[in-house]
Amino acid sequence: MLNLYLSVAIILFVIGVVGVLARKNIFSVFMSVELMINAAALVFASFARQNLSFDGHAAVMLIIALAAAEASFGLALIVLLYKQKSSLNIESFNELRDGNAN
Amino acid sequence: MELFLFINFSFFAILGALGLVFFKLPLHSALSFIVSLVAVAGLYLLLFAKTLFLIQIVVYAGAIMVLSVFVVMFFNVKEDRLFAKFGLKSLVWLVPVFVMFGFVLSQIWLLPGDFPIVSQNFGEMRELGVYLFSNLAISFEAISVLLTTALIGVVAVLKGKNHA
Repeated sequence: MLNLYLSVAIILFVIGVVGVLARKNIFSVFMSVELMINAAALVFASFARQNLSFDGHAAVMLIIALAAAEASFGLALIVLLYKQKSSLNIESFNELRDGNAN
Repeated sequence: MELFLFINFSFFAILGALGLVFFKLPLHSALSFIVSLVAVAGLYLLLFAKTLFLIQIVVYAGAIMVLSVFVVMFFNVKEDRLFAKFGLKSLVWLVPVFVMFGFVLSQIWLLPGDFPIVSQNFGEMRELGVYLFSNLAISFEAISVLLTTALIGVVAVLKGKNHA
C-alpha cells in the first residue's frame, strides 16, 4: 500500500512541476506550487502510517501552516505586481533576470 | 473496501490536479484544485491521519483556497490578457523531469509492501497535540513566528510606497 500512496504523491508532484514549467499565467503557477507542497505532505503522511510515528503528522501540520504563510504572501505579491504591470503573464515579471545574460 | 476508496480518492486527486494545469481560466483551475485537495484529505483519512484530514479540509481547502479564489475574482481578468497558452520552449525541460520521476516511480516498488496494524487512537488530535507539545514545541512556536512575520510582511508590502 505504501507504494501506491507514494505513486499518487509522485504523480501529483509531476503534475505540479508541469504546471510550474509550462503555464504562463501567474495564478496557475502559484497554485501548482501549492500542489507540489501538498504532494510532499502526502509523502510525509504515508511514511508516518508505515512507521506508526507521529513525526510525519507533525511535519504535515507544519507544512500546512507554512503553506498558509506562503499563500498570503504570494497573493500579496501577485496583487502588487498586477498593480505595477497590469498583466498576469509571468514573463513580464522577470525583472531580476540579467539582461545581458542571454 | 480500502482499495476501492483509495482508487476513488486518488483518481479524483489526479483529475483535479490535471484540471488545475489544463484549464484556461484561473477560476476553473482554482475550483478544480479544491476538488484535488478534498480528495487528498480523503487519502489522509485512509492513512488514519484524522487530525490531518480535519486540518486539510479546514485550513487548506477552506481558508487558503477561498483566499485564492477571492483574489482571482478580485482581478476580474479578461480572456485576452490571460496568456493561457502553453510555452512550447519551456516544455523541453519536461523531458529530464519525466525521466527522473519515472526512475523514482520505478524504484519505490522495492519498498516494503503492506502497512502494519495501527492502534485505535493513532492520529487523533489528543495524541498528536501531546506529541507536538512534548517533542516539537520549538517548531510550533517557530510556525507562529512565521505566520506573524507573513502577516506583517503582507501589510508592509501592500502599504509601502508603490504609487502605481
